[in-house]
Amino acid sequence: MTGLHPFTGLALAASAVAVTLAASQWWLSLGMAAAALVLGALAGTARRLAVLSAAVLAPLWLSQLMVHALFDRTGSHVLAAAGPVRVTAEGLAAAGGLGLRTAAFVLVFLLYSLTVDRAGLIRTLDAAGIPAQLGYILAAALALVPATADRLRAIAAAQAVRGAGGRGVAARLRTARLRAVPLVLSAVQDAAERSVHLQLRGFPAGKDRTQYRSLVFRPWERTVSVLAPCLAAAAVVLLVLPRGA
Amino acid sequence: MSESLTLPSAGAAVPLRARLLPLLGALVIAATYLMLVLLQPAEAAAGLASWPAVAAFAGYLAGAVLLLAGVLPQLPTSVVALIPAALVLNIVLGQFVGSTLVPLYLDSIGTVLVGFLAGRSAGAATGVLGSLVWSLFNPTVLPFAAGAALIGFLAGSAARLGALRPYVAVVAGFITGIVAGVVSAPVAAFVFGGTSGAATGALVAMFRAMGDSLLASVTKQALISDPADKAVTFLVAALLVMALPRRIRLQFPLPARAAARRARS
Repeated sequence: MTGLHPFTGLALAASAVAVTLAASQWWLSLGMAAAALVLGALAGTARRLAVLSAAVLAPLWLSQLMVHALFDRTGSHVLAAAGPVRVTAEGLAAAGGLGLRTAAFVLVFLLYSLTVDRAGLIRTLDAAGIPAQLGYILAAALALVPATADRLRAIAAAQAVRGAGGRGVAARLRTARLRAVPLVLSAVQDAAERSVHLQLRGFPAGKDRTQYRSLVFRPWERTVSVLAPCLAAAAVVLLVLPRGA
Repeated sequence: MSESLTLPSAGAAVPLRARLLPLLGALVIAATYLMLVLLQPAEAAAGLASWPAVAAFAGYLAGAVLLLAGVLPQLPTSVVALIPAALVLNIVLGQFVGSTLVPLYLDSIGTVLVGFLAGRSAGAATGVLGSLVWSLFNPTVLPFAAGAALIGFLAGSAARLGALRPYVAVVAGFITGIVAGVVSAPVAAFVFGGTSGAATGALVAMFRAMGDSLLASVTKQALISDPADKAVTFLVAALLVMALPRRIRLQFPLPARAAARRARS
């Protein structure tokens, strides 16, 4: 998705996820997940995509396995049974189907997140007439994540020098308090000071202000951005209605 | 006299859009929940039904976005500047608490803090924005945006009713946990077929083994996990607000209003 306008990538990712959820077929989920991995490899982010998605998916898959496969009461093809544990072919199929559907959802959105030009996305939101507050909040939050993590490390080092730490629940809670309180207080104080500077500069300014960055939204991308969600919506209705009705 | 560029005009009325959109968002979320609970098909017990997954995802997300669209343009700049800090606190403190082996999530302290300082609209907006920003790192939080908005909204409502006192904060957090857990359960059940963690998944599996439906099992698990987590979150947020210097605290709407009330009486 590198090189695409942020809205084109978002439209494609959201459409792919909507159709995968609505179809709920293991082969489509598998295809979407594989396509996301291939596109990630082509964009040079395969490793990050695999690591991030594994961190998100591992606990989810474990949970789905426990909920659907280990204690299935309804399946007729029993593969193993011991006490309350009853593993059935139907339960394993349900857990596998859900696992693949979740994997497709996570991989497609993470691929978009890793390949989108984040500054471009914020500029695009601004240009689309969406309130400037949204662009500011997204940009500030993304910039503040590493800064706040660094500050937490610095506070932890300073508290360690003071002798904070130790084993046991009480010591852990005390350590958490000694780190969290200065972190939160400094974050709120910074925010209060930042708001003064924003107000002095007339934030949020109107739409017609000078922009230092422009993004090209090519005609074919405009068409895809409209067409893909419309086709996906039609597919979702066709897929869902016969089963839901 | 020319209009001030930096101060809101006195007595400015709230536009109709700002009143209607959040109301519409809340109605969409409530309608989605009722539809999922009342019309859940038999196949949903296996977690693989497609329309409840689509309805839970689309309905909750659409409701949360409508709510955000109505609230965001009305927020004062002091609150807009606070929201990114709160979102980052959610992420950083959530990860930090997870690493200390304390069996709680505590990943909504920032949202509750904004609700306590800036009111229910700002709290709800922070909840939705937190889900949007966090979804860039973990897309599974995206469908839970409505639940996060509810936590922020209830934190703001609780602050108006005096939840900044520690013992009231615990009770308010407990009640918020019940409501948020019940509202978020359909997403966990129908979109993900369970929960996002191994320990909570074991609880859901236990209820399923006892014969409960998937939605009932996830709801019961949420009623065990969420109230305790939110009670501690509300207590921590209330203590943090009390620890703020008065000079900083009074820059935000709710403490400023409370101080003005105290000065009048």
